[in-house]
Amino acid sequence: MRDPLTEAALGTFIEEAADMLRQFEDCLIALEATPGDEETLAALFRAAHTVKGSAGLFGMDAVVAFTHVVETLLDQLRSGGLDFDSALNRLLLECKDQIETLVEVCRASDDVEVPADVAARSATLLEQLHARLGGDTHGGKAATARTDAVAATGSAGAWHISLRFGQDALRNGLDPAAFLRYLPTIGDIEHITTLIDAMPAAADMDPESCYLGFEIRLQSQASKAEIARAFEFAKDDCAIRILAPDAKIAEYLKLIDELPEDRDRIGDILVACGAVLPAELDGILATQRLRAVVAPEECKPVGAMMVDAKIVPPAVVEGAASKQQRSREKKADEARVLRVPADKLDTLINLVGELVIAGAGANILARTRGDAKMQESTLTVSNLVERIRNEALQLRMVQIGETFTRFRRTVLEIGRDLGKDIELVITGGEAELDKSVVERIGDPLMHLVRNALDHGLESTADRIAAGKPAKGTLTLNAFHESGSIVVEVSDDGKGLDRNRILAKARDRGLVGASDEPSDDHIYRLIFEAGFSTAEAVSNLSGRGVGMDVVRRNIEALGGTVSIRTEQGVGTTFAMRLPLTLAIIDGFLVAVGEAHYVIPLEQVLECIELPDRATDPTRRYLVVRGEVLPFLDLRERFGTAGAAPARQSVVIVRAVHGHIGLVVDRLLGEFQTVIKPLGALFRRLQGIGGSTILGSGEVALILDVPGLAATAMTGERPAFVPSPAAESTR
Amino acid sequence: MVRLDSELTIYQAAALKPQLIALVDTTVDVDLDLGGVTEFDSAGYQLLALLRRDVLAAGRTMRVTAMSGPVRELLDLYGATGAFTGAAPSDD
Repeated sequence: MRDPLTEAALGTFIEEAADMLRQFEDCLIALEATPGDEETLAALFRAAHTVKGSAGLFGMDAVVAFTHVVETLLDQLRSGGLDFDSALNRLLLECKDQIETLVEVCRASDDVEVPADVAARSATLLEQLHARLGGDTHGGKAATARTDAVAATGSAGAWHISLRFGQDALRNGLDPAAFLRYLPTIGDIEHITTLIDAMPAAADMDPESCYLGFEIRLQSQASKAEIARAFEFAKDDCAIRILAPDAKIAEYLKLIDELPEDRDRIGDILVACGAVLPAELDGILATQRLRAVVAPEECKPVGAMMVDAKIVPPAVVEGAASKQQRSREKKADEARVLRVPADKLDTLINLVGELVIAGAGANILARTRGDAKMQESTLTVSNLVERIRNEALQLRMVQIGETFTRFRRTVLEIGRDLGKDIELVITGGEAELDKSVVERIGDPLMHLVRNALDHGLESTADRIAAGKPAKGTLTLNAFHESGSIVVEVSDDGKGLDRNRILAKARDRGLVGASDEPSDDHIYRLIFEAGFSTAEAVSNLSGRGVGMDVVRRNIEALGGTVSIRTEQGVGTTFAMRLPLTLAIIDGFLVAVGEAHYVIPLEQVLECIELPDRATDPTRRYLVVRGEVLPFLDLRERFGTAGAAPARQSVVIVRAVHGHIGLVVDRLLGEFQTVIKPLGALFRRLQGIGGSTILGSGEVALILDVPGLAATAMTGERPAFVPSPAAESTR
Repeated sequence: MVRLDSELTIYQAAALKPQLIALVDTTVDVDLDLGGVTEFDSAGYQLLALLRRDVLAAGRTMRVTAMSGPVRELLDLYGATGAFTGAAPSDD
């Protein structure tokens, strides 16, 4: 189990890992264009390295083991021992996905079992990685790398770790035990000797100082760097020496030399650890005595002999110091951006919403009292609250660019799969919208992109034949327009085939055989469930699932989707979305005592309800020659009391055209903060949320598509789509 | 026989040190019952090690006769359980 502190740090790690992996992917995509770019290769390596390092701290062994091999390969790429090609690029992209999966698996708990399918995938990818690592036979670099890879995954060995903690370790909150407890996660402790030789006489011993030293024999497959990382946090308060399994006797000699304790005593400890044989020790000690006599200056072998020397205080080395300074500056820079959990922002926005409502209440009170001064001051408060609300909403705004850039990989991969040469152009990436909206447009956007790649853009041969540039262009664009954001997916492909869609629609009975609907109506047909004109079903799209889902997803967000297309020139899908889901512009209506808010986006017009006393069962009106089905909200929600003599109809846009909602009174436009319904009411059809009016009353926000769906059951024949009216907006 | 029923960590180390060191100056072997020690860290370990070193130096023995979970865990980790329980010969 992880302790609470680690658990808290885990969230940060998960985010960092996601960032690093995104960077990793970006680098791979950049390399596609400029293979062998040193800076990108280095960035690629760093990203993998960082993920591996942090994963180690959280005991995510599966992540560490897998990423290590990826890192080894990247190191080889970086040093020029391997050449970059697109097959390797693809393999690395898959490895990135696998790392992502492994992190996800490990985040639940540090001793989690990796599911068999994930483990199998790891094994497959590792095999491919090793094939790349081992397949390269020329030059010494490849040979070393192979040894590295073997060391990383195969041959275990006994490492010797020598630790001497500084006196301040305990006072600085570093308990040596914490580091030793970590070791079993990277290997098996074969032997451990705890030294208290540094402890002075009882009278001088400060019980809060640390006098401990350790000689450890660790059986581990980890790399030197990984073992060193286990003591990363201790390095200021601890002298660390690590000897590799294949360390030479000379290196032990140096170790004995350097350690503060008596050399015979250290020798005995090393023998006890199993690091050296007794006979070797005798030899070592003899050599040492001899050398001390003959040439004292040679007693200190050169640093290169050591696998890892004692950690030198960074300040000693000028270069290291300035490097540290730089990294510190970078940290400070990062600190200017705060990572805040989304739910905290939600709470804030919710509270601000309450404030808006409470402020409106105070306003009404001031007005009814006729107190001018009071009114003035509540007005000032209202203005400030308004500004706070806008600022608070601004906090959740993110640029759409990042969502767009994620498609680089999709475009690259799908283009490759389809054998099409496609360029992705991104514009308007700086347009901002609410994070919750961004999260929910990913799927529809992905589908539109895939659709454009698969069906929109022609094959290279067809393009050349049509006299177009061989390279197809896919454009992702975003811009703000009157309080909404418009996200466009355009291709310069063949455009929608009007006649084929029409033929298919007639085939399926969606359009009467003799009807000649408008172009716009025909193009909208592709959003019907199960409608696809693709001649060959590919594994990307063309199965007729999707376009209707795209439309539904967008409508669920309170948005709309439209199509512009020209045969032979291209197609643009434009999604118009609200900037935020937290606030809507609504239209307030009343039925009896109850208030309802209709999203303004969906309101087309209001008309008076004609006298229907002649036929109370009639469920439709004729408006300007069009049949308009309507729904009586009083009836739908079982409102008590009799309907007033005059009622109104609000005409709203619904999925299959327009419907009318019969209400008692129209109260006008109203901007409001949406409050989600409690769990109890979440499944309620026709109601999308609630809000509180300035008077303290609750108003329900109508979910028009939901309402229309319930109204439609059994009433379908009365329902006629009216494409002409559809295009008025 | 001395029984400790408290935490034995860096927070108590300064207060407990004189009491434990006083045992060095007695004339009997030291038997420590650590069964009631609820928390134990490296500072606690150092006090035990100091006591043991000085009692041994005075020609007597020091043994831990009972230990709580936290004490055993740390002594095991430090490879020192044998030395303190007398089950294994001292290695220092």
